[in-house]
Amino acid sequence: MTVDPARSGPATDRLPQPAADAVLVARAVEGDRDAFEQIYRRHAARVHGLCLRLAGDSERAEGLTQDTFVKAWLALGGYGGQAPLGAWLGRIAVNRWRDLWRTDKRAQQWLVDTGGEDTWDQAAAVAAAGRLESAGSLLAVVDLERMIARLPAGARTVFVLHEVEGYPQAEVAALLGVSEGTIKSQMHRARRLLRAMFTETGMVRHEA
Amino acid sequence: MKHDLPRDPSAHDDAFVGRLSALAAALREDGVEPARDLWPDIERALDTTGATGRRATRYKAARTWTGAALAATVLLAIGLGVADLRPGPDARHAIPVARDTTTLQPGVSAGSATARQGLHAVDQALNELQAALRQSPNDPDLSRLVMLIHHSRGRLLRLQAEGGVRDAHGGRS
Repeated sequence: MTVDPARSGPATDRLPQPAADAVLVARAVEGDRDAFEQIYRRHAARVHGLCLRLAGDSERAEGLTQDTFVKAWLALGGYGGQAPLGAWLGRIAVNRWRDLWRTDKRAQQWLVDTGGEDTWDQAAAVAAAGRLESAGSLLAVVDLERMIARLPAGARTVFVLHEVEGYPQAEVAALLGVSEGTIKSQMHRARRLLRAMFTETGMVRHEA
Repeated sequence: MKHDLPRDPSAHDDAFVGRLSALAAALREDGVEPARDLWPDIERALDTTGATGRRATRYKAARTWTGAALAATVLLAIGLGVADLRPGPDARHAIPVARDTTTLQPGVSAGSATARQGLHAVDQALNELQAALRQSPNDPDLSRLVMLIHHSRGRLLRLQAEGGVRDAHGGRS
């Protein structure tokens, strides 16, 4: 998806992202729908990436992304520029996800389920650590993206909010309406499963 | 690559967690493009949620032109009413009187002044309506109003022509 320079206007083309965002926000607040479309074009991938990690499937991620931008349009007048626009949009996406999460009766069960029966393999843990130590590469990031999608909903949500988005565990707990202990349990589960998945990739040869 | 099982598993655990955190944080700014362009759906949602913005500007413009158009229509109705009443069934007699009046005091008679005011208001309204139509080309109400005003303006011009004042205004038809 590309930005049409003719529509974004020469002023924003040459500006660094924060300044360009500020110009587009100012225009959008005045009601310029084209400016808001440019905001969408610039931030859709970031917002959709977050929504995809939270929702776990592309259909729900698309719906969540759309909701996020509709809410953003309605709230744009309240954006004061204290945070980068991308982070502000991310916050809207997270809040929207929280609203959906809290109305889903299964969600609390997902958080309670910490996967006590998940397999744990010490050898796998060693291999996974080696895999990550030697990787540090784009491939590892791509792997991680795919693995996050395979996590159970509770572990995935907590991992994405805490490790990817950087929310403190206490804030994740407040967002999801559960105790911090539950968040810690889900984090532990997410790491354990990810470690097993990294080992499964077979990209690190493990010879016991 | 050969790994010895660690004497202290937590050492590897810490290494793994640290690396995992770094990779996860790197994902934060890593976008994932949607499989399709979501903007058309978002724009439709903005329209249906009554969101503010350009659409609101259009509504504001619409309110403006609606007010002007209504004012023009009222004026036009008054003007047409006067004109329709004045010639009446004896139009053949009334018209020469009007022509005489115009000849004596061009553009000053009560009938021509009313018609001129009506035409002026109609022209203003048409200008606003056409500007609004450029912004909202698919607005059915706007299109209907433009057609109505055009039609009414044509009637007014025909009546003016009968009253001998058409040349004073020229303009569109």
